[in-house]
Formats: sequence, C-alpha cells, structure tokens
Amino acid sequence: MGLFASVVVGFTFLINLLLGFTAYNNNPKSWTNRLLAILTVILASWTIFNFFALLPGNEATRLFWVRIVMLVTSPMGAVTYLLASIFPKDKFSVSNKKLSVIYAIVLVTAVMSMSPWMFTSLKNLPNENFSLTPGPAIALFAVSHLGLTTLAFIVLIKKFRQSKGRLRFQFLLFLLGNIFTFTLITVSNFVAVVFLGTIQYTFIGPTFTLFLAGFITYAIVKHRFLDIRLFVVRSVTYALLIIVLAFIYAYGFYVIGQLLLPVHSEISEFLITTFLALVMAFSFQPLRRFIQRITNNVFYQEHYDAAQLLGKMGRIMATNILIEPLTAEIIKQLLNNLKISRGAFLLLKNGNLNSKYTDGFSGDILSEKDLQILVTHVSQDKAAADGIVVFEELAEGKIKEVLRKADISVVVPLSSKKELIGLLVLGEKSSGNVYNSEDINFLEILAPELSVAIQNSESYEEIRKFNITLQQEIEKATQNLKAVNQKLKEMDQLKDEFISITSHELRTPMTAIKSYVWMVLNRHADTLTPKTHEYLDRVYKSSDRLIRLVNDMLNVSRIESGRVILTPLKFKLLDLAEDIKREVQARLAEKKQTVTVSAGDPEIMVLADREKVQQVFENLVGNSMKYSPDGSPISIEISADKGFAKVTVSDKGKGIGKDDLSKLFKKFSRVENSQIAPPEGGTGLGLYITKQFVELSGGKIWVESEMGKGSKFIFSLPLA
Amino acid sequence: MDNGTNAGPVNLAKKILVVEDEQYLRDLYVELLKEDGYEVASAIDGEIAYDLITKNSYDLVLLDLVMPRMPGIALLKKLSDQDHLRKQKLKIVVLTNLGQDTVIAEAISFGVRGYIIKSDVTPDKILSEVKYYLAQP
Repeated sequence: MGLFASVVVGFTFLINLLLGFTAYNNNPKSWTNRLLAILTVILASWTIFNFFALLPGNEATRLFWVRIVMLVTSPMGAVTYLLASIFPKDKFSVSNKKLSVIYAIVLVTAVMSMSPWMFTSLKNLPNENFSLTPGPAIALFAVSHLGLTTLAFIVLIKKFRQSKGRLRFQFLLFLLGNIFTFTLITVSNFVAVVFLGTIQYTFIGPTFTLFLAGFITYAIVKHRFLDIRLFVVRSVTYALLIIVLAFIYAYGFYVIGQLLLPVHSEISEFLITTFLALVMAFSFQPLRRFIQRITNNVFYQEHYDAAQLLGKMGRIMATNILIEPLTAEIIKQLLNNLKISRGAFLLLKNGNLNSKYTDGFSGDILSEKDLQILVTHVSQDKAAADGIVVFEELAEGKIKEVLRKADISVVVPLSSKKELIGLLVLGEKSSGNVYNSEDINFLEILAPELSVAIQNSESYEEIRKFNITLQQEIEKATQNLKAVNQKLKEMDQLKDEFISITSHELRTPMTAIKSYVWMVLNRHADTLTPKTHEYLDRVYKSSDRLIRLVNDMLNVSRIESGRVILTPLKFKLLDLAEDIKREVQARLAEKKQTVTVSAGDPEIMVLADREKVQQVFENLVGNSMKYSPDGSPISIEISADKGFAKVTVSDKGKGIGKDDLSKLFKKFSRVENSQIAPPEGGTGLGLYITKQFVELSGGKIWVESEMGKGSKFIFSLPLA
Repeated sequence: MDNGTNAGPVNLAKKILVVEDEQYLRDLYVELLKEDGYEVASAIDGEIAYDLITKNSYDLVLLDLVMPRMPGIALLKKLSDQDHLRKQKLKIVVLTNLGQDTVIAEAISFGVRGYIIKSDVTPDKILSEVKYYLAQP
C-alpha cells in the first residue's frame, strides 16, 4: 500500500469520473447516459472509499470506511440493472411497481450499511490486514447486489441475442464490460483474499470497474467500431491471459503448497515459485496465441483481406465491359467477402433512376420519392468526405426512416466528375454484425474505381445501343429508299408507257392533218388563192414540226429507258445520202440552198439500223439548212478509215461559239445568239438524239466549228 | 406478177390492198393510189384482210401494224402458218409509226419487204415507195 496503490486508485477514480462526465455530456437528456454517469460516480466513490478502508488505521475508522463502501455500493446492482433495462434508449421506461421494489431494496440496504447489522465489527490483523464480522444484513446486500446484477446480465443477453448490427455490438460491449469487471474483481478481491489470505491486491479491485464504465461509455458515445474493435480484442485477449495465468499461478501455488505442506520452508517456497515462473514463462506464448485465436474468431469472423479483395475487384472491373456482368460480379464479391445479405446498384441518369442491378433486394428497393430523398441527401452530404451513408451512424430522421423501410444498411454514392451517377446500396451483414471501419474504408477506396468502371460500362452500353438504333434506322431508311426507288421505277415505266401511248395517239390524227394538207397543197393547189396557199403551207409546216416534236420526245424517252432496239442491216451510205438529198429538195429550193453529196468510195457500206441513221442524216442536214443563210451550199462527204465510215455534213453558217460547243449534244440545249433563230424552231432534242443513235450504232459524233466560218458535223459508223 | 397482164409503166392492172384501221388515213391511201391508177382494195382490220388475201391475189399489201382486231403481226403469223406468204409470193410493206422497233423487227422476220413510217412521209413518198416495191422482183 504505497505510492503505486495511491496512483492506481487516483487514476481509476479520475477515469471513472471522466467517463461519467463524457457520457453525460454526450447526451444529458438520455437516461442511458444519466444512469451511466451515476454508475461511474458510484464506482469512483467505491474506489476511493475502498482505498480509505484499506489504509492503516484504528479499527473504528476502518470499520466506518467499510460501512461507507457498503453505503455507496448499495445502489450499484440496482443502477446496473436499470441501465441494462433501458440501454441504449433515451427514455426511462421501467414500470413504477418495479421501480418501487428496487428503491425499497436499495434504501434498506443503504440504511443497513451504516448499522452493525451489516458488519458488526472489524479487527486489525498483522500486515495491515483486517478481518470483518458480518451481520445478518450482509445476506440482504449479497442477495440484492448479486440478484440485480444477474438480472442485468439476463436482460443484456436477451437483448444481445435479439439485436443486430450496431445495437448488437453495443450490447456485446456492455456484457463484456460486466464480465471482465466481475471476473477480475473476483480474482483480486475474492481469490486473493480467500486463497492467498491477503488483501494487498484488494485495492486494485475497483480499477477493474474501468472495463465496465469504459465499455459502456464507448458503446454509447462512439460511432464507428474498427479502431476500438482492435483495442477491445487486444484488451480481451490480455485480460483473459492474465486471468488464466493468475488462476494457474494461484492454483498451482495452492496445490503444490498443500502437497509440500510438511516441508514448508524458504527453499521449498523458492522452488515452487521458480517452477511456476518457468511454467508461466513457457506457457505464455502458446497461451497468448491460443487466446488470441479464440478472440479473433469471435470478433473477426468476417475477416477478409482488403488489399486482395481490391485487387480482385480491379480485375473484375478491367475484364467486364458489359454493365450486367460487371455489376453482378461486383455485388457477388461484396456479398461473399463482406458477408452482406444483399446489395444493389441503382444507376442514375439526370438524377433519376435509369437502371437497377440487384442481388437479394426485391421489388423497387426504394420508391421514387425515397430515392430522391436519398439522392438529395447524398449529394448535399458535404460533412462526410467519403459520402458513405451508414444506417447505424445516422441520427433518427427522414433518411434513417427511408433506409429502414428499404432494409438498407449502407449507401455508397458513386460519383464521376462530381456528378452522382449511381448508388451502391447494401443490406445488413448476414452475421447481424455492424459494418466496421475496415468495411467502410474498403468501400471508400472501391467507390471511385467502381464509378469509373460503371461509367465506362454505361458509355459502352450507350454506344452499343446507339449502334443498334443506327443500324435499325439505316435499315429502315434503306427500306424506305428501296420502296421509293421501286415506286420511282414504276412511275418511270408508267411515264414511258404514257409517252408511248400518247405519242401514238397524237401522231395518228396529226399524220392525217399533215397528209390532207399536203393533198390540198399539192393536188388541189389550183383551188387556192395565194393567201390560203400560204396559210395552209404554214399549217403543213406546223403539223410537221409537231410530229417531229412528238417523235423527239418519244425517242428521248426510249433512249433513256434503254428501249431503243436497233435492227442493223447492211446498206450503202451513198444511197441513203442521196435519198435525204431528194427528200429535202423542196425545202432546199425554198431557201435556194444546195446540197452536194460526195463519196471517196461510192460502195462504202455500213452495218447499222437504217432508220436511225436516216434520222441522224435528217437531223444534221436539217440543222445545216436551218442555221445557214439563204443560198449557201451544204455538203455531205462520205469516206472510210480504219474500219469506220465517216460522214461529214458541212455548212457555211455563222458557226458555233466555243462555249456552246460543249453543250451542243446535251438535252434541251439551244445555242444562243450564234444562229439566227429560225421560225420553225426546234425541240432542243435533235442533236441529243442524234448523238445517242450514233453511239448506240457503235460510232462517234463530234463537231468542228469556227465563228463566221461555218460548222462541220462529223459522225462515224462501223463498216459492214 | 401472176395477174400482171399489162406490163409496162401503166399500173392499172396492179392490185393493192390497204389494211388500215384509221378511216381518214385509209381513205387517203385508197384515194391517192386510185388517183395514181392502181386497183385498190381496203380492209379495216386483220381478219377482213385475211379473208381478202386468201380469196384474192394482190401485188402489194400495205399493212398497218397497230389495229384493234387481229393486229398486223397476228395476220402475218397466220399467213405464214398457212404458207400464203411463200405460195403467193405476197409483197407486204408495213405501215407503222415510230417507236415500234420490236414490232418492226418481228414483221421483218416474217419476210416483209420494207416499212414506211406513216408520220414521216408525205403522200408523194408513199407513192414512190409503192412504185419502188412493185418494181422489185
């Protein structure tokens, strides 16, 4: 009983008061906290008065302090029981009847404590020891104290078994605090006193109350458990170790002492002590390992290697690009390794639920409204750096209610570039335990990586869907185009048919008009006045032009739809040229123009469709006549060269400008200004048709012209 | 030639059949040829023409191709099947319009002597063509 004891007692006293103050300060309105504060005050008082009682002094003083100890400890059992009953709630919810009984017991015990009924007398012994003579009330004390404490135990065990998560751990802490405190106090204040016959360790007893006060305070005050878990585990390990060793030592000493009782001497005591010291020295390490393994098994059943698991997750994320297998595999790993009951990914788009991947959760998990509440909370949650929401750590409120309804224990926000892309929600642990710091740390590290992986996956998915849509669109468009194309083809065919039929129907009456006018002009001219002759001549020319127009249209339509059929025959070009000359004779005479036909070899034969070649001649000669001044000569020259016959139709007209040359053979091209526009006009199709016919016949056509010097149209045809 | 009793430039003896469904054109051709001194018969479709051809003999047939009842090609086919073309050494010149290449080609395959595109020719030209074909052996 020296300085050491004083320090230990002082320390215990102060720590107890500090813990009580912390608990009370943490939430003064909570009855759990209040009761704990009361308990710590009792424990602190016990520590200090116990110390006073143990101090050397006269018997009366010592007896007084013993009685004071009894007084202050008399409500200990009751307070412990009440604390266990309402723990960890804030409200005081013990029935009045029960409370009255408890009050009565405590009151009676307290009153008895100060009377000789509890301890009749105290007798000083050597070595500053003392012995007490208990009175009958000691039984009351024992019964009330042990009974209420046992009841507290029963309540706690019941609660522990029925609870899960953080609550479960809180009860566990409470229980452990109780167990250690009582066991250790038993060792120091009972085993030592009874078996060793010494009270020199009794002063330590109250120190062990620190376990109880500390554990309960921690259970109430602290939020997350990993760090304390390790502390608790190590504390438990060493406490158990000390207890076991103490028993071995005490029991060994006792047993061997009994055996060697006859030869009780300094030497034998030395031998025993040495022997036990050796036993302890050798058994310390194996024992420690053994106990550690047991405690680890109890506290760390869900242990996993975070680094290894992170590596595994990384591989999963690297090898899965499709969102479904990725999320499924991640959830599977989380559930298996962290021993979680269920998990789900809720992926968001513009703050709304976009897709959901779940394992174990059923239905919608969260209503739309609840999800919005949660999303808002997570987005605004700037307090927590990691943003992870843990159900157990939330104060009662809207969010906690939402999570409780959905059976969600943990919400991990997944963000990319500060934008919330989804939530990983996890259910409670299968073991009923609470998520510890290691779990939360693990999820914290995993979250950003997971966010990136999921976003990549979503992007990929989007591109994939876009591709599919695009393909569908293209197919649809192609189908449309095909349909439109088909329709166009049909319409084109209809147009050709229409032109074909129309032209036929038009030509028959026009042929009649033209022929009858011809008859009047040529067979009955004597009946005409010069005026009517002139008029009918114009009717004749106009009807002729109309027929040619219809023919040209028909020809173009046939050329473009590829329906021109050639009937190649052998014939002499010179004959055809002479025919043309004869045909145009009348018109030549009108304009006083002349046509000369010449051939290098009069026998030049070609293989071609005569009618088409005739049209070519007619067009070219007709043009020359049309665009040449009156009285000018026109020549047709026929020659042969390298398998081709060549026909040159020359005139002495004004010629064609360079700009016009290039578009001469195009459809509806009318040469501007280069020629005197003839009254009969043209369709603008003549040279186009001419070119097509020449080329269809296997020849070529071109033009040589110079302004003021006339034009030369030259075409070739394969020789027969 | 078989009934060409009066040889020479006078065409009185030459018999020509005009097969044409359009009345105005048919009248025109008939009148024109008659004025030129030919003996002219006419038919408004292939069936009548067939009757006439099988019952009479003609030096030349001017045959329109597009007709409502038995078009020109059908008549040619029927005549060909009955071997009249070869037996009578019938000279047929097709009257046609532009844009009927396939039909013309088909007509040529039946051995017609030539074709005249109605809209492109003047009555004069028709007469010269008729003269040209009649003069051929």
